[in-house]
This record gives sequence, structure tokens and C-alpha cells, in this order.
Amino acid sequence: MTKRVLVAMDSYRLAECAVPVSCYICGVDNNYNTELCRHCAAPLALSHQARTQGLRPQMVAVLGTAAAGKTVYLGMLLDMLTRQNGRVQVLARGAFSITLQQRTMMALSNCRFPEKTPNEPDRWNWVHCQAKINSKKNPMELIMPDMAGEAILEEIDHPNAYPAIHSFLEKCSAVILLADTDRIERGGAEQNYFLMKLITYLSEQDNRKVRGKSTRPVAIVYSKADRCEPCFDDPELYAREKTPNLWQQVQQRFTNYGFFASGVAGSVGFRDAPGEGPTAVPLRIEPRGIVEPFEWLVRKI
Amino acid sequence: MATLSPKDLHLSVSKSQDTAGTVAVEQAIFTSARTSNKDGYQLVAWSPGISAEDARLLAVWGPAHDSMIVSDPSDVSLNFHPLGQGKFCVSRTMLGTAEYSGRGGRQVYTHCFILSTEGFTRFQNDPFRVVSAALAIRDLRPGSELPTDLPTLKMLPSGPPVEPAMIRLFDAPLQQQMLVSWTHMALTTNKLTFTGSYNDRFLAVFFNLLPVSVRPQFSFSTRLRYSPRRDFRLIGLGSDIEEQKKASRQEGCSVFQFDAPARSPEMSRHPWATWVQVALCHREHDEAARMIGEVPLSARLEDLPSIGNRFRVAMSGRRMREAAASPAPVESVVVPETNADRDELLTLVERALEGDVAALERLNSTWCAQPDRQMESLREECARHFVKLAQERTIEPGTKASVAIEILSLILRTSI
Repeated sequence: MTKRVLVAMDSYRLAECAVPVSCYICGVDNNYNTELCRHCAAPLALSHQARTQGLRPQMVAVLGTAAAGKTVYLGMLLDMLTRQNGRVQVLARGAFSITLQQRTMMALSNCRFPEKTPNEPDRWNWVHCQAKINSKKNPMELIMPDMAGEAILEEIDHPNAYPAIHSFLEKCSAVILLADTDRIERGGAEQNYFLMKLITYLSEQDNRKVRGKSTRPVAIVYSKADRCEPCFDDPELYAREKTPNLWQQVQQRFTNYGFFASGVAGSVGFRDAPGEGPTAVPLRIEPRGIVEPFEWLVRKI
Repeated sequence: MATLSPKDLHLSVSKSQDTAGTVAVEQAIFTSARTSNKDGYQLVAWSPGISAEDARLLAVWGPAHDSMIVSDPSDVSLNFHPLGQGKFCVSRTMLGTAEYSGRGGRQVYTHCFILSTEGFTRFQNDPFRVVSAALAIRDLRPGSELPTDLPTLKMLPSGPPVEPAMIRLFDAPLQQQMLVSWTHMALTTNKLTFTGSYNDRFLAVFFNLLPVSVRPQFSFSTRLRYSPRRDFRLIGLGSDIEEQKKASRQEGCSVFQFDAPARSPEMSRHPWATWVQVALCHREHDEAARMIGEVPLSARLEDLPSIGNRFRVAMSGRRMREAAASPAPVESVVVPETNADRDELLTLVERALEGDVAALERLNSTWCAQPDRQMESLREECARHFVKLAQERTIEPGTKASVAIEILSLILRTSI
């Protein structure tokens, strides 16, 4: 005699794999179980998370030249915001979002700056978090990558060289532009030109959609401002005096903009290791003006 | 360390321009520096023949900070890839001086050589010959100061399409087995990562064993971290476990472990790999080189199975004719006529497994000299006996017995 039994048909599990996953950044379809987008190399975890949450994440770009301090700024910002600070509260989404904060803080606690961000997009740190502001009822979902400065400039000079940056800048809701105060103080003009290029690039992206000034909020942050105390007193005046071209461009192309000054290392020394040249050493950690630009930006989005 | 300066290179160019038959090779240096254009990784110097599109592509392929797996400043990574339509780039990467921005770490310094399709064909489409020619002209290590511009080099290609001496380097059975497995994997996968203790000579021999026309399709990198942005076909990851895990998570990546190469079943092996095995086992290096060198330049990768089959049949046929013309030494060969001879062969297998070199030699000569149907059935019987014995024993890797197993696998054409 044969007993009748119910046998589960497991083949339905394969149906899930047959459905492609669109990259949240560039929109290209990928296999279900792929880790990185085959086109732009952004993590597909962003897409999976965005799909499971009702709210579509907004994108915030942190841009600047190589060694402008993007990694340190973002890492410190996240570390400060993930603590209870009263004004803005941030909750990381996904374990990968904590890596940047972890690397930065570990490096700073060991009296060194984090290593240079590699140019390869698959090795960038992406942060997906939920930001809650006291004055706003609903929390916001945010995506912020830490991209290499050279890659940003390469993309601006040769559009589509980095598909991740191209798509990200097209879709991002707000921008933090970091200007290296140390290099401005040393008389270099490259910060000025780089930021002017970026401002032009961003405003032209917006003008394709709507004619006139761009409404995308832009925070111009003078990083490493601890090397120039007057910058903290009045960042806009500092911008007008030290980077007049940039100040003029921002006025003419954007409606929502703000100038800020920030600093993480209160004091920096240099260590000369044999064969490795001078290496910058943060002598004490004294974060100033880190949260303000972000808070201003989030309120504007 | 010699400094690479445009002035010095001009001198070498003027010398080589006098030599007839040189090939114009463009060059560029991609590294991290603060220049008047920008800070960070960029093309710091290039020769006049580098177009804006070439420069853009070089920046895309160029390895940037922390891209090298090794941290030894003397270690070198060799890379080869197409550069747009009709151009190829052969590059040599190593660690340079300290990163300019004071953030720690060394700059990753890459010297690129760009050739047109015609120029590369003059080098028999072999990237290793380009590197050798470049090293013959200059020291390619980074100097204390970076050059700002570079001249177009005139390099002199030399040598036949296939160097028999290179093939002869892989004479040991273990090396031959590895090369056969590698050839099979490289020809049957779209992206192959290789791990463990390999050296560049192995890749050089692999290129040497390919027809000239298909060599450009095997872009490769050695000792660079895996990045989907750099679309290499063969990717050397050394012994870095994290990089191996990362690469294996990517779509369509197969892995070849140099320290423990997996044998491919004979029936499903790529015919070109089978032919390589036949050529290596018969030690027909010159003949193999001649045959590969005669493959027309119109041959494509898809044609390799049929060409491989044809070569194998031709080589085996020639050996059979030669064997028929000159009788084999009777003393060393077992002629199976009775069950006693069959038993003798099985005993030889057992002795060979113990590491008896004479037994190995007799077994080898038995199947080389007597390729007929009766011998084939005996070979299968011996192979079964060998597999049974090998599975019963516990054999430590690197011992005499493990080497004997490798050799017997080749002689009896079986795998455990």
C-alpha cells in the first residue's frame, strides 16, 4: 500500500532568481544574487534595501579633490550623528554602511588619517542611513558614497568615464562640496578651479531639466579650516575673499547654497618615515563644524 | 635606482632608430602625483602618439592606490589588455615612493606601452616580448622625480612565433599536468582568476603555446586586486585569501589554484589542451613549436578545437609511423601475450607507485611503443588497478609517492 504524501516543490524558489534587480544608482538590470552592479559597480544591497522599505532613499553627494578630506569628514559626520546629539539622529542601514565610520575612527584613534580612497568604484564605501531631524515629522532615507577625488574629476572632464558618479550626480538631491582650506591658504588655485568645474557641471545637469538657476541645495564646506581660524568666523566672507570666482559662480547658478567651515584634526604634525616620505599625523581630534552643513542640507531637501 | 628622464630616453631612441625593423611603441606613466592639471592618480607623462581617447582609457584601466596585492616594493605586476579599437597596452606596475598627500602608503606606479595591432603582431602578439624589449632599453622602475613627457620608443622585435626553449622549461610531469589543466581552463572560461604560488614564466609559456592570432584575446593581470572595472580575462591574485573570496563572489569567475590544480576529465578536455599534453609528454618541443607557428593568422579562438584535434592526430600518426619503421627496444617493453604479461604490468604499476623509476620508465615505453587495441584494454585495466591502489593508500603531498601518482596519471591517462 502506498501512503499519499505531500511533497514540497522547491522549484518555485528559482522564480525569485529569474527576476532581475535594477541597480538603484544607474538602473541597469543585474542578476538577483550579484553583489555589485555589472555596469557601475555600486552595491546592489542598496537596491535590495530600497525595495524592502516604503520610502525611496534620497542621495547626497560629498565631492572634493583628492585629499580634500571627504573620507574623514563623512566618517566623522556619521560617527557624531549615530550618537544621541539632540538635533539630527542617524541610523545606519545595512552593516556595510558602518564600514566607513569604523575605518575613519579606527585610523584617527591610531593617530593617523585613513588611507586614500581607491579609484575603483567597487572599493568605495557606501552609506545608507535613516536621518531624523527634530523639526521634521518623517525620517529621511539617505545614500552617501565616499568617492575618490580623482574619479570625480575624471568624470567631470570625461563624462561617463565613471558610470556610478555620472548616474549618482544626475540623481542626487543635495551636494556637499569640500574645499581644502590648507591648499587655498598655501596659495594654490586648483581648489578654486575644481569647484568651479563642479558647480558648472552640476548646474548644467539641472538646467537640462529646468531653465534658470538650479534649486538643488549645495553646501560649500571649507575643510581643514583649523589651519585658518578666520574661516570659522565667517565662511561666506572667506569664500568671497579667497575664492571669488567660486563665490560668484555659486551666486549665479544656485538658489539654495550655504558656506561652512569644518575641521576634524585640531592640530597636524608630520612624521618622516625612512623610504616613505612625510606622513601627516593628527595630533588631537577636535571636530568643529561637522554637523552644521549636513543639518542645513537635510532641512533643504 | 636610475631615474627615468625624457632626455635619457631620447638617447636610446636615437640609437634604436638606426636599426632597421624597429616598431614604434608609445608609452605613458600612470601614477599618483600633484601636477599642474590635477592631484592624485593621473597620466603624469606620455609620448606624442597617445591620443585623448587613449589617455581616457588608460585612466580607466590604470591601477590606483592600494591596487597591488603585494606590499614588497620590489614586486612587479604585469598587465596586458586591449586599448580601444586596434591598440594594445602592455604595462608594468610596481610600488613607487611615498603617496604625495602625506596620507600614508606608497604610490602605485605603472609604466604603459601602447602598440598598434600591426606593431603588436611584429612582437608575435606576445606581451612578454614587449616587456623584455622595453627592459632592454631602460630601467622601468620609478625614479625620485617623475618625467613630464616621454618620447615614442623604437623597439626591436625578435624571435620566431614560438620559442621551443620556453616549452622545454616545463619538462617535469607535475608542471606539464598543471599546464594542461591551465590551458583547458583558460580556453573554456571567460574570466579565470588564478591563485597560489605562480610565476610570470608560466604565463609566458602559456602564450608561447597559443597560436599567434589568438594571443591578443587573453588579457591578463598579475598581483593586482580584482576590480570589475578592469575587464581582464586572466587575473592573478596570489595567495591573498580576501581577494580570492571577493573575486569568487563575482559573476562568471572561475578559479584555478596553482597549489592544487584540479584535473579536467580527459573526455571533456579542450582539444587544444589535449594536444598540448601530447606534445609535452612526447617531448616534441621543436615539432610542437613548428606546428603552432604554422597556424595561419586568420585562425580564431573558435577554430582551436579542430586545429588541436588535427595536430594531435598528426603528431600521434607520425610517431606511430616512426615506431613501425624502427623497432622499439624489446628488453624494456612488456609485450602482453599471456596472463603472465598482464600480471607483470600490474606488478609494474605497484612498483611504480612505490617510486621505482625503472618501473615507471617501462610502463611509459610500453604504451608509447605499442599503440594498439589490445594495449588499450590493458591500459584501462592497469589504470583501474592504479586508481584502486592509490585510493587505498594515504599519500602526503610533496612525497615521492605523490609524484609517482602524477606521472602514472599521465602514463595511464587517468585521474584519481
